[in-house]
Amino acid sequence: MEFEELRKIWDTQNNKPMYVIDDTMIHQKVIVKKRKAAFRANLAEFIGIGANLFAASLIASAMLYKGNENLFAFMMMVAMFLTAAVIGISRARRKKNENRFDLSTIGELQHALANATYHVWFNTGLLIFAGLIVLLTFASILTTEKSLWILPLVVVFFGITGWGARWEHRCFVRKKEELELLMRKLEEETDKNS
Amino acid sequence: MTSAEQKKTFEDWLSSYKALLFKVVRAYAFNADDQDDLFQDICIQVWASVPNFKKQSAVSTWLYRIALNTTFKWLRKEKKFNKEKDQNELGHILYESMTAPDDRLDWLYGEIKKLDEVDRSITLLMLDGYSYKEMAEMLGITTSNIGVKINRIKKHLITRSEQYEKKAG
Repeated sequence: MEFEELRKIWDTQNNKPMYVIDDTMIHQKVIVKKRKAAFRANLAEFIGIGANLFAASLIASAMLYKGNENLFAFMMMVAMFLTAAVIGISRARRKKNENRFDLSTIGELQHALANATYHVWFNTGLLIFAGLIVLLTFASILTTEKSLWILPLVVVFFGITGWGARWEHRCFVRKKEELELLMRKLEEETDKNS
Repeated sequence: MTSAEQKKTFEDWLSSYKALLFKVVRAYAFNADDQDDLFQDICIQVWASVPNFKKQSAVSTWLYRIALNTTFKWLRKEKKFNKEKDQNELGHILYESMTAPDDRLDWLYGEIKKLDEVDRSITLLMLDGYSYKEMAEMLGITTSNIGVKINRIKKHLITRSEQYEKKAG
């Protein structure tokens, strides 16, 4: 074959679509995406509630048994208990709103997207909250002279955690964008068929 | 650019240049999972690129550039993480049309797949009629290097096509 012949073979695909879109498979895939989005949101909430309750309990124990009366540690404990409560309330609201989606492909995808959007919002809130905890931790350490040596370790710890949290956040945003894109494509297909 | 304008442009591009994106996907991703994944990545980048398009090149050139850059990034990511495939996702959004335009096209894709990553992209662009200069700009390779590679690829493909025709009888 001459090169021009190869090019003609190549050009045949410009006239006919090489791929078609399978509606049933889209629906199945959307259901899997919905389950994954719900799983991620659930997991984030449980970890958020668990971690805050655990850390707040540790601080409370230290205050009760060791007589630690640091104001910033107290503020941190209160903030953590409150955060656990806020997460619990927002979870209850999210669960209540889940019934508004129908079982069509678009409905399932809207459900997945709602959970993904919630997860990004939730994660943003946690990042802001983490900033507050960092400040309170530093303040708490700085007002306790004997534990100043911990400061560099805490800086490294928060540095690594912050980097990891930002990376994780970008992953969640990306997942959400993927769902939004799928939604746009589905809407486009629906418009064509209507 | 408003969100509605971005959406409209994206939909127009997707509808007019879907075939171009599929060519890149098919040349670089070899199973349905990967093809879905890469196609989705490319679509996201195309969507994000809409406001940056300054009409200094043809839309097809712009899309080729984005598709290839995204593909190279996707390949690096695939190599880096060698990620587990989700066994639950048995279905695929994209599947090959039952009416393949030409059997020889499957053979041609098979040959393209055997080339290395850069040669593959040059082959796609060459078959779609891009100039050396355009290819050089898109791929960040000198024009003379493109020329050398194209000669080698053309020779290789012609030799392979002769072997294919002999086999096919």
